[in-house]
Amino acid sequence: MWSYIIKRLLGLIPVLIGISLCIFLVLQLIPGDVISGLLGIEENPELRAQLEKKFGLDQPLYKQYWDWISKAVRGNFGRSFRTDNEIFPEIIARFKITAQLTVMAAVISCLIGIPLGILSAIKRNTWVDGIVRIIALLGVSVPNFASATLLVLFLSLVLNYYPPVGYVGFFNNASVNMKIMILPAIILGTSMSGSVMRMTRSSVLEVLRQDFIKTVRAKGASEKIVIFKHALKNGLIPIITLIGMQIGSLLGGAVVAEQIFSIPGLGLMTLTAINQRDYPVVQGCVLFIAFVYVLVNLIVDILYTYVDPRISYK
Amino acid sequence: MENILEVKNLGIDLVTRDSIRRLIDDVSFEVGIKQSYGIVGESGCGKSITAMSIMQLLSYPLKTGKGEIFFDSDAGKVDLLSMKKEIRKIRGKEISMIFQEPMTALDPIFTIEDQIIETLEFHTNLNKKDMRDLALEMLNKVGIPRAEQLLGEYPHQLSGGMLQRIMIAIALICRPKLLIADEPTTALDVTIQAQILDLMNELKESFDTSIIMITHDLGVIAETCEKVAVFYAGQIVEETDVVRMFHGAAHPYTSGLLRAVTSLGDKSKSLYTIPGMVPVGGYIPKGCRFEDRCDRAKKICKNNPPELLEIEEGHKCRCWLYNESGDEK
Repeated sequence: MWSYIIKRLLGLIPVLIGISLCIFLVLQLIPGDVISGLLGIEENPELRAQLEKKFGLDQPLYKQYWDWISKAVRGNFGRSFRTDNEIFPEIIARFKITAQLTVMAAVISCLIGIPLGILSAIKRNTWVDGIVRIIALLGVSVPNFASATLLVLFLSLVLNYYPPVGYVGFFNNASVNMKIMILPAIILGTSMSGSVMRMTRSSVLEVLRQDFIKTVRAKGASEKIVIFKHALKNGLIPIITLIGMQIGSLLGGAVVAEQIFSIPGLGLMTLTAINQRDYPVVQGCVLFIAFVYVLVNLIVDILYTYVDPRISYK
Repeated sequence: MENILEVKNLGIDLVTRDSIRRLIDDVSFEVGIKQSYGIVGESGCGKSITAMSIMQLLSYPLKTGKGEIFFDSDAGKVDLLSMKKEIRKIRGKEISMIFQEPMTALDPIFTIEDQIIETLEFHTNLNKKDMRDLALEMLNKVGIPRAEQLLGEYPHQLSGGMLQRIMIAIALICRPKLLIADEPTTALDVTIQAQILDLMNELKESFDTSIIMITHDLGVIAETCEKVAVFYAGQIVEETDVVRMFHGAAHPYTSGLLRAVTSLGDKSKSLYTIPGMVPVGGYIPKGCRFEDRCDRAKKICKNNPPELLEIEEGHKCRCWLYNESGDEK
């Protein structure tokens, strides 16, 4: 198992090199640069040359890349062109916020998606199943920005409830923090739950068709045992895979939800950096996101071995 | 009740959104105490779903449409078909079942131990240790070496023959009165088949269990059964004891099946087959269901369905050849 994990982590290296190259080159293609943004209307060649020298932008591309990547592997992502802050600590701070949001969203999505998916499988082709499937379809197809806007409008206009403005950390004030985070978590969670519901339904139905379910029934099992002990446990692999992928992409920043609810997470940080052409910040964020994504996938793969004894890594 | 099981006028339907098709029609038979009862027929004749219906294991879109199945349970005579949740108390405890495909009949993510003692968890109040001891004892009885070690293994680590032995152990662990074996040897290779059949014969004696043996293999019937029903297209066409079936079969279909059996030393160039096909796709002939494949069909067979009649003591046959009222036509 350990050798497998190490092998997978080593496999991360070429992936990250590829991603770093791509993001570095793509950023060069975006029109406009950070210096025109910084200088604004006072643009003059002398100042520009000065800044270019300061940021190392006067160097040839390959040298710029090398300077950046050789520091990045040591955890030093450089400083922001805009704020002059260290990038790596900033990423970690923002990531904590996004991670909290992701965990909350994933929990909500499982709490809604798995029970409803099971219900829908047990009651297949009845009106209950029909309603659940419509809900799932809505969850999958209504975009976040629409449901988020509707939720905010509904709360403020109908219930006269306004969530607190301005982010507060969980350890500073947990109740205010939860009030801020719960709305985006609900939005992300419900939209994730749609696909979890569908996956749970089809996965459980698939298992219920298997021969061994008949054996379990023939032994005298109650439906509860059949569904929860045998069908759900056997159907978990695709559900875990799906949730893992969703968590992976949410950890990379739920850009839309963070923007709408002004949550200063990793997604918002990346978006701002792109708008400001703050190259090292964008590069750092993307590299970090890619790393987290691959890591989550690795964790999911390891989880498989606990769910299914037939899977083992050597 | 002298019989352990009495199936009366069983009908099984295939229910779809806009139609109901009767797959099994008017099947009646009795299984005596400690008797081995064989059900033989080709694929799709309805023998498996008949067996499933005994324990109410049919699932959508199949449903029992009519009939009664009486069982001599611990609590007296009961109609299995009219039972609701109570049937769980019978399943696995008083009636057990073994399936065709041992490789898929066990849950892949639980250990053998979990799956053997699961039956005990449903039906007894034993503690974990007693359950484990009983499981080991059963594994020894079904002839499994290194039983202790095997308890911790998973189905995918074992061979088909081993798994079928384990299935038998699971089925018999509560000492059921009736064991339904649905093609228990079909998925196994020949030497293992013989071992499994021997084992079943042996255990039947030591456990005093009645057996319903479902198979398409006449060899299996000959080796294990006392009484046989021949199924064709959802009906019993002949029912008799095993000796008469092999030496005095009445129904042309049964004779056809027997002629199709090959043996070593058979010098003929081609194998005998019954011409034609089983009625498929919901088409059910108006008269005798075997009429278009039968080499002895008469005029009356085409449009008038024959009934299952006793043609001599303990021998029933569904054929106009043995029905006097059909003679003149």
